[in-house]
Amino acid sequence: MATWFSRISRLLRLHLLMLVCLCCSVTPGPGAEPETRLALLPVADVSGGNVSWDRELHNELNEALVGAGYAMADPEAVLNVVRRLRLRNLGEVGSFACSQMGEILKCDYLLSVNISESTGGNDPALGLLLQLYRAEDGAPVWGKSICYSAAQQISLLGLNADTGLEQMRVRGVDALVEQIQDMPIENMPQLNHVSSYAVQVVDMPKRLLRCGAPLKIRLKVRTGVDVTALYLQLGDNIAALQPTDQIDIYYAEIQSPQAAGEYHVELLKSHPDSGKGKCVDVAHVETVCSAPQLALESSADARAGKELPVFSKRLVVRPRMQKKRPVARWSFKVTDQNNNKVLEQNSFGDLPPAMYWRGTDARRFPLPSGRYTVTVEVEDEAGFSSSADTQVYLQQPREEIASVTQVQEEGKSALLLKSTGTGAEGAEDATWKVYVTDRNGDTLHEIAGQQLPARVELPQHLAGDDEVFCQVYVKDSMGNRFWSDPTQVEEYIAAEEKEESEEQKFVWNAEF
Amino acid sequence: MYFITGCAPGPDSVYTVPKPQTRLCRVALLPLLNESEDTSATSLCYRTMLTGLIAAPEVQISNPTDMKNILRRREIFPSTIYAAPPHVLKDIGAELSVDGYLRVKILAYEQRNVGRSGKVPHIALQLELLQMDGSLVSQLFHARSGDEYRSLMHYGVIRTYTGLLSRMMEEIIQRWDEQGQIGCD
Repeated sequence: MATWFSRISRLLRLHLLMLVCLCCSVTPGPGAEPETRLALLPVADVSGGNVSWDRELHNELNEALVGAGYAMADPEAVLNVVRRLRLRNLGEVGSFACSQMGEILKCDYLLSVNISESTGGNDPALGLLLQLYRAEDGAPVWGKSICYSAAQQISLLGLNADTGLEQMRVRGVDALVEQIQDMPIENMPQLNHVSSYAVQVVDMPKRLLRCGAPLKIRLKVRTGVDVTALYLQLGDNIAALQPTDQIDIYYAEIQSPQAAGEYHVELLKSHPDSGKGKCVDVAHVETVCSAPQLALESSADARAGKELPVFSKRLVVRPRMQKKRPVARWSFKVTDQNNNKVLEQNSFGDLPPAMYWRGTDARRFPLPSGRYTVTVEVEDEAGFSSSADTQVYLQQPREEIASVTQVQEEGKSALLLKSTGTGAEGAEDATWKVYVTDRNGDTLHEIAGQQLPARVELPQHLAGDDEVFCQVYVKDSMGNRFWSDPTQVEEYIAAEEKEESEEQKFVWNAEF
Repeated sequence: MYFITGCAPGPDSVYTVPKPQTRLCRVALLPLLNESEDTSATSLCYRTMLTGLIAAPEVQISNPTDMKNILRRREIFPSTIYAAPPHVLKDIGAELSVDGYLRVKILAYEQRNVGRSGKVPHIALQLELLQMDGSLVSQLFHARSGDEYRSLMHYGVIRTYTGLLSRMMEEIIQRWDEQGQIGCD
């Protein structure tokens, strides 16, 4: 009895075991490995050929892979995901795009196929590149290149030659399918899940900040994990990302460090208190706590008898910053000895390595010889301002260019001008200008024209003045500029009282 | 047999500056600098070299698109890749989790007429293996023509750029592996 009972019990146990085994073979249990799925990316054609066959190759290859027993993602679904992720360059998938495609398409690997060469003609040639990416982290795991040319296929007797690109394509697809059999899909080691990120700075107004000033930054972040778990770090300061009304765009305002230096803005994948996660370097910023140190170097040279450096035709001013930093705006200003502004130029952006001044005012008319102060002001991106100046003596080149004769007509004092310079004489497009100035160089009266005026009438109040000077300037057709020394005309006014009809003449001599 | 070996490519077109104390396992391929006359060479060469590197078991390669995205984010263009400062390369390397970089300059990319065999491709490359901070591990000049692989009659001649470049990459990786400059433990 006991023997029968043990036999029946054993038979029942065996049947039960067989039943369990049968069930496991039909439906995989929770511990079984699921089937490896593959997504074929749209074929990228980088061959530069006139006619591309990327779509045909994609379809043929997909059918061949299905026929070879691979579990393939639906080609239409793949195309939709490619459009959704805005993958502009076919055949190029970043780790973020890989992980997204893997999650959406439920696939384990992505196969990228590139047509590298596809040329027809007498010797058709074909080049194909295969790259396999792991969807989980976008790591490239397998690659193969396939290439054929018609001449390569010719046998000893001249047989077996492909006569055109169409035949080459058939051969290429066959070779692709053959090569794909070698894909090490089944043997790939399974790694832990690593989240992938795509981060792009959308807007960051400043890269140079004052110590402790807030940095406002907008980022485009695309990731498979919860964005609220992400933090932005600048120095020791942490800020959470805030969503905006735009898709994938996040905003953060973060305090910059109190100490000057260069810092990285990093995206943390977890809060630092929970153990610092892997960082993504987003941008670089520099913090400064003081105004920039600025100095000027000028090309004016020291001359004997002159207390200031002298220049005549062109002054080169080179601004030097002790430590180079981004400049938001700068200005170049020239003032005369009475602190009157004669020239000012403002600009945005980086400071130029050299600034040039040709001794002219804002209207490009030459200024009289004298003492001038050149000032350069800069404001860096952090808002700190700094300025530097240098004093120079402008010595305008002089030449005999005109004679001036003073006359009295009908009780009015006038100057008669006559061209004497060889360069300017007869030049129709020469520009003339006559300045009547006071002792300080301030212009009291000026006349400009294309040709030298024959007569310049002095205003009545100037005629009686005992400190009036006259200067003549000319620019000839070649662009050469000439400038006479200021000559005092008071003596002639005084002489008028003695002999009204007497004409006085004075000539400027060349002096370089 | 003598004939076959006599036509095999010799080592005369390969020059290296070895520094074998550094061994790189995981590298990133930097965008190529094209100095050849063919402006279309960059895309084909980059993707073919990448395929060769992925296929090589001696070295691991980072995702190339991640590299391009980081360079774009940092406003580093292929033309300025040789001027990238060391700290920038170090930061990029840390972000990509790589040990070093492969920097390549295409010096020649053209078809050359070799008589009866007709036109065959000719490629000359200057390759540099860099550490994460941009310091040079190895420099290599490698130039090959398709007819250098001729074995007998027309056999062995490589007539496609893809084929020639793949073959060159195999040679380069093998050379670096022999010199102990690449490899994973």
